[in-house]
Amino acid sequence: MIAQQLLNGLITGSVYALFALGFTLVFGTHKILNLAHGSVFMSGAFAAYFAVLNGLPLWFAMVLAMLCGGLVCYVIELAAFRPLRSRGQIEFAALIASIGANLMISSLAQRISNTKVLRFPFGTFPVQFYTVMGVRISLLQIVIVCVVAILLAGLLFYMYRTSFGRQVRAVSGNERAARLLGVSPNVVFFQTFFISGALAGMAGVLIGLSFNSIHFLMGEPYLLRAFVVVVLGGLGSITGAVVAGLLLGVIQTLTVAYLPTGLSDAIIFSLLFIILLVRPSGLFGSAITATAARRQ
Amino acid sequence: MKKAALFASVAGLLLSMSTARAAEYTVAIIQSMSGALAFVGVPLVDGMKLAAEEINAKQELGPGNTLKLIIEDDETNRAQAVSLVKRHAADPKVLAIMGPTTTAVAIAGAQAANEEKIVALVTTNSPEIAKTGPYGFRLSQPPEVLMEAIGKYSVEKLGIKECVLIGVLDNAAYVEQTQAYQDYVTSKGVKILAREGIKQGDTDFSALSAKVASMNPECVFMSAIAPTAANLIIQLKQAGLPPTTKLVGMSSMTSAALFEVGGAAVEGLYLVGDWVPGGGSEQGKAFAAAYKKRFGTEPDNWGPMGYGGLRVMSEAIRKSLPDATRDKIRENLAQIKDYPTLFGGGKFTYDPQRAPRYGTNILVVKNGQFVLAPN
Repeated sequence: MIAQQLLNGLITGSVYALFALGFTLVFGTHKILNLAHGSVFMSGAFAAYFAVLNGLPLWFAMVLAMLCGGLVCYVIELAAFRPLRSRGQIEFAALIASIGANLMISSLAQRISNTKVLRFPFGTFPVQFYTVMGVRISLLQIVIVCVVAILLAGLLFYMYRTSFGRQVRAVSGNERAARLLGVSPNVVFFQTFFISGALAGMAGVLIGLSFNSIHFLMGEPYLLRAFVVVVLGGLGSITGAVVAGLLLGVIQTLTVAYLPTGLSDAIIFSLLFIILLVRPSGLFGSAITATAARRQ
Repeated sequence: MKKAALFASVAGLLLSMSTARAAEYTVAIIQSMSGALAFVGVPLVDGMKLAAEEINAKQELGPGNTLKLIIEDDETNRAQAVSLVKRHAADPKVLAIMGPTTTAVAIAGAQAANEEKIVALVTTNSPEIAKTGPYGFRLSQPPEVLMEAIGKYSVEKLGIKECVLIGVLDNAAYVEQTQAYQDYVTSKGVKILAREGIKQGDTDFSALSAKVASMNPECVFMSAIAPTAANLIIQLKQAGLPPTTKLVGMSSMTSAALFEVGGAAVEGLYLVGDWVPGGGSEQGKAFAAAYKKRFGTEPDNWGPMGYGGLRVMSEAIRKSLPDATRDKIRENLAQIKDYPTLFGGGKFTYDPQRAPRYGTNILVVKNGQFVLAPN
């Protein structure tokens, strides 16, 4: 059973990582904890659900979910964060503004869904299982791992191999210096928020498909997990978010499988506390700082 | 001209006299119309609306008298429920409260109702309601009654010898029901392979499902709300739970939400229910037809519960006439005995702890419907 549980943990963890990537991207670039990230995730799942319900193919629904997540996240930036940034009150005010945005989007989804738990229609994705060396894996799980790997590779390429990514990192390092060098921060803000939302939107679809559940509050437990992932991985670190997401998924799965019931959260948060005592900047936090210093 | 004025005055006087005689008896309905328990609250309120319309059409509270409902949403939120209870308790026209819905919210609401000395007939079956004071009444039967019924069926009819229990941990009523089921079946010699906990809003059961499936259990008992249970069943089956494993559940799963989320995976689930699907008796069938005509769907467990609950409350108000007060209603509600109802065994009685007794039905999911389980 251990191999099966490790596989389950890695798959759950890969979705945590996908969700947390957008969260950490916004924090790393703008130093904003976007607490509306859970509702962006949910809006992606809702968009895909209604697309599938209207007869559109799943792949198209996934693209739509990413667009919807990206747009919702950018609208939050435009309506909530940008006005605060222009007044120089971005840190705590943005936290409150994102809570407000989260409540508004969740309430809207509650109205749309009539508070019901929705699910993709039966047969949206083929239910097929394969057994490899005694480990049972579904086609959906394979697709999830592939999608997360492709998106992660795309994000890393974008951030570290394109001029857009350089601009994002420049604004993240020193917004004023980047502006003097001709980088438009607003373009960078658009890119980071859109990418963050798009990743969350896709994570929403994958979770909706995996666990047969689309609900207006579905983002809240994932937001809590994302906190753990980004703090554990090192705030703003993409690699850290991926490693911490996978680690969290595996730890959570193993605690459910092998320890007394109901202890999962207590163990996860205790481990987080211990790791932070040893490495206050998270698993990859100091490495990132050192890299940034070397670049400067 | 003078004659006309005199006639108008007399007519006005007669009209005002008749208006004075026609009384309006107000009940505040505070249920979870949104939030996690909306799938219970919404049909419950629909059933109450139907009952009030019937009571008023038949003038059951006396000629010209009407039963008025003020419907409020507690949003499955304790603070909201307490605020609504206090607001309506402050209105002298409100004679009693029906709600709140779920345990944690209902305990807070019943506590507030006792402080304000107004009856709160809550939906949950948690024994904690009785401890809030004499104004706290329950609409659902105590856990031991329900769990003894399904436990007995599991042992005697399904013949189970071992079982895995999976119960919601963050709702006291579900914890009590899991415990009551465990107590009953272990007293009959059933071995509990594992007792696992989940949270009401959980969706990822992959680790738990793999663990349970690896035990090849004869039976899995689940204590959870309908969408959560349906999702759990799907994931258990996807993890390789043998098709021969008996799935056993409780009354909160007897909802359309079970099929909407679970589809074909929930076929063969045995559960204890209050309502006989389709109606059972002639009155039940008439109710089912009226409910479908009015709301466009077949009633699940909660529509008839709402209907029956408001009828019980109306009976307590009727017995308190002509001068119905909150205290008279409380006394008469506590004395309800063998009142005809649509669910369970057909007769509703309050025991000395203000817990209802009305019997149970064992159901099974067959072809996407709840039907009476074979005896």
